[in-house]
Order: sequence, then structure tokens, then C-alpha cells
Amino acid sequence: MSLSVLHPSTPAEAAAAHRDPATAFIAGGTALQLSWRSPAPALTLIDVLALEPVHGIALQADGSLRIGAAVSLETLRTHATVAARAPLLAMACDSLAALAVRHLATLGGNLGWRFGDTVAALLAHRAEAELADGRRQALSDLLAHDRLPLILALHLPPPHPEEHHFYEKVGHRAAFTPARIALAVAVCIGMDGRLQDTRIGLAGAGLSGRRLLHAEAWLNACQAARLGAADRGLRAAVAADLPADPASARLAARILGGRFGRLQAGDAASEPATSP
Amino acid sequence: MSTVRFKLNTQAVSVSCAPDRRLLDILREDFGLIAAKPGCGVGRCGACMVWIDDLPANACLVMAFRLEGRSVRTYEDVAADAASAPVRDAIARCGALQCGYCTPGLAMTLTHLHQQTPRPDREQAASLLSGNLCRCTGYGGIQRSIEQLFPATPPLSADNSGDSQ
Ligand SMILES: Cc1cc2nc3c(=O)[nH]c(=O)nc-3n(C[C@H](O)[C@H](O)[C@H](O)COP(=O)(O)OP(=O)(O)OC[C@H]3O[C@@H](n4cnc5c(N)ncnc54)[C@H](O)[C@@H]3O)c2cc1C
Ligand code: FES
Ligand code: FES
Repeated sequence: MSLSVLHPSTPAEAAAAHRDPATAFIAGGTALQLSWRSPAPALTLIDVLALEPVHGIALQADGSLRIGAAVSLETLRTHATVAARAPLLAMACDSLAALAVRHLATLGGNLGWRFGDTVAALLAHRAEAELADGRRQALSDLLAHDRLPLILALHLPPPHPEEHHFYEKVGHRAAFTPARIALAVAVCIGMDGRLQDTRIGLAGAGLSGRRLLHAEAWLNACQAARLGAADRGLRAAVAADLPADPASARLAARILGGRFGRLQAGDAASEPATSP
Repeated sequence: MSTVRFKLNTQAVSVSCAPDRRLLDILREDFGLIAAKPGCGVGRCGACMVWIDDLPANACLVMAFRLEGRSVRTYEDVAADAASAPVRDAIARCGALQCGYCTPGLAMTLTHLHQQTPRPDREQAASLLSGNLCRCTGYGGIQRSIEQLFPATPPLSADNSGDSQ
């Protein structure tokens, strides 16, 4: 018994092969093999990179940005269209692993790894996953699967032109470690100074990726000028989003309080996104 | 067992082995190319750095089946290329090595960065070297070689501030 590799020529073929529980998709392979002890388990690897629709980055007719699941994290970090249309994703890749790992590692593999830093960014960008049969599924629904189906691509709707963004990864070391938590935020400030359309994606070790919907609702009812770092309302809202993990909730609330506090001081965390 | 065909340094080669055999082992055991070193074995230290299709990659993370049709360059070949001379000189002159175990890997990443257009600035270069760990020089010499090889400020073309020149 040993390991073998299948190179499917169509997504349908790959998805059909994956019905066998003794298979796993493989893209860059940087995460997959770390979970094995030598020798590798008896497994059939389904080579995702053999499929054509998983490659490339393209603007679609409906205005969304389509990012193939096999695009490398270093390409995402340095791509001009990604910087303009999906700035949180570029920021996430900037503090993810190191250059050579990022050349091998892919976006689909980062989602498949479950604790990947890009999840927070993709959630805040309202990404939908394109599946083997062409259907699109919201990322939050997709992540609920125990065994992820084949992801061909991610579709990101265009950001609001006045959107501000910030991304923060907190790890046990400053660089090159899996995140304790990664937080990605997109927010607009209305003419009346009210926060609008706040979207907060969170991921981290032991935490499945999620939007902080209570915190978003609380912030959307706020005047930007009213926010302070130690706001109890924000802390309570984040705690409601992470009921099983009070320590992460405190950490997330502190980061959000600090970053939104700076927004209040007129020091926006990032320039509003511009179209490419 | 399966056979993969790829370009290794200047030669076309083929290897028959298990599909998940690591490139690092293939280089060292089958071809006697020992510049790429086994360190952590999990992608963290950079001692095993090679270039695959001209991009730095950790040889310990790459399975044999991924090599089909690709081009692999090791430090043996890159060091013999005059284009890497500025990096080799900087490492030697700045004392960026002690035992030398991390040095081929470090030189592979540094040479790749030094050959980029535009060249990264010092801060970017230091950050892009975060996957090359050295256990014994203390990084002072490595920092000096970064200062020698990379410009102090970002090149003009990378400046997106929107200010007029
Ligand atoms: C040294 C090192 C440092 C790292 N640092 C970080 C870090 O800072 N942050 C971080 O997030 N990650 C980090 N990682 C983890 C990992 O490398 C990344 O998450 C990477 O993006 C995984 O991508 P891959 O293509 O290599 O995935 P693979 O290893 O090929 O696959 C990972 C999982 O995803 C599944 N999969 C792959 N492609 C698809 C697809 N298209 N559809 C469905 N499932 C799929 C696979 O079946 C597998 O379960 C690090 C890894 C290493 C080795
Ligand atoms: S041995 Fe490959 S990165 Fe350490
Ligand atoms: S010179 Fe000894 S590990 Fe770097």
C-alpha cells in the first residue's frame, strides 16, 4: 500500500474521484504533508493543479474578481488587480509564511487547511466559492463541510469605492507562525459619520473562519466619532460572536477597538480602495 | 513507482521513484547535489532552498510528482553563474556566514531578490528573507550584506503614493 496520484482532466472527474474517502486533493502540498508521519498514508492524491479552471485571475462580466484556487499566495501578495480589488487578501498574504512557501502554497490549499489566514480576508470581501459543477456557495457555508468539496475559484464582488480596510494577524511570534487570530475588516463611513456595511472576518488556530455578525451590527449603529478603544458594547458584541472562546473574543475586541478608535481619529487604517 | 522527467541545472534528467519522494532527497541521494541542506524538513528554515522555474522553493516540501516538466536549479549551478557574483561577494565580504550550513539557501533567496526588477529595498529584502534561518551568525553580517545589495528606499516605480515626482 502506498501513495498514488491522479491527474484528472475535468472538475467533474476530480469531484467523482473524491467520493472515495481514501483520497485527498493536493495543490501546493505544503500543508498536506505536514500532517503525515513518514511513510505517507495509503492515499490517492487528486492533483488539483492539473485542472484548467483553477488557474488565473480575471475580472468577470458581472464585476466580480475571479481568483483561481491554484493561484499562489505570492502571486496574490504582489498582483496589482488583487491589491486594488481585494486589498485584505493581499495584506493577509503579506504576513503568511515566507516567500518560498508562498510560491508553492495556493489559495485553495489555504482554505483546505482550515486555519488559513486568507479565510478572514475572503470573508470580509464577501467571497463565494465556485464548485466543480459551476455553482457558487458563500464561503461561510462552504467552511461548514467536514470534508471540503473541490473549490475551483473564489469570486469577490467589487469593493465599495470608499471602503476602508485593515488586517491584523496576531501570532505567538512576530512572523512566520500560524495566527492566534487573523482579523480582516472592511468598512465604509457614511456622510453622516455613521459606519456602514462593516464586515469583519476572523480566523485562527482552533477557530473556524467566521464573520463577526454581532460586532458588525453593533458597529453599523455607531457614529465613527463615538468609538473608543475600551467600548463595552463592542466587547459584548464580539463575545456574542465567539461564545465558546472568551480569550480570543477579548483579543479580537481589543484589536477592533484600537483600529476603529484610530479610524475615529481620522487616521484611516488604509486609503479607500480604488478601481484598477 | 513512477517516472518524472525534469530539467536539473543544465541537464534533462529522469527519476523513477515513489510519487511523494522529496526533491531534497532526490538531489542529495540520486545526484550528489548537496548544496541544498536538510534542516527542519518542514519548510521553515530555508536550508534546502532551490529555484523551481526560477522561483525560490523549499526542496523539502516538493514531492517528486510535482517535478514533471519543471526546471530545477540548485546552488551548485547558481553559484557557477557570474550573475550571482555580487551576492557571493557580499556574503563573503560582510561575514554573513559562520558554519555555512544556511549559506547556500540564503544565497539562493538573496540572488533571486537581487535579480528582481525593480529590486526590493532593504526593508522589503529583510522581510522576504524571513524563511531563511541562520543558527550561528546572529544576522549582523546578513544585515550588512542586505545593505550592500539593496537600495535604502523603495525604487521610484514602486511608489504608489500618488505624489507627483
Ligand atoms: C513553513 C510553513 C509556514 C506556514 N505558515 C502559514 C501561515 O502563516 N498562515 C497560513 O495560513 N498557513 C501557513 N502555512 C500552511 C500552508 O502552507 C498554507 O495554508 C497553504 O496555503 C496551503 O496551500 P497548499 O496549496 O500547499 O495546500 P495543500 O497542502 O496542497 O492542501 C491543503 C489542504 O487543502 C485541500 N485542498 C487543496 N486545494 C484544494 C481545492 N482547490 N479545493 C478543495 N480542497 C483543496 C487539500 O486536500 C488539503 O486538505 C504554512 C506552511 C508551512 C510549511
Ligand atoms: S529543510 Fe527545507 S525548509 Fe528547512
Ligand atoms: S552560518 Fe551557521 S547556520 Fe548560518
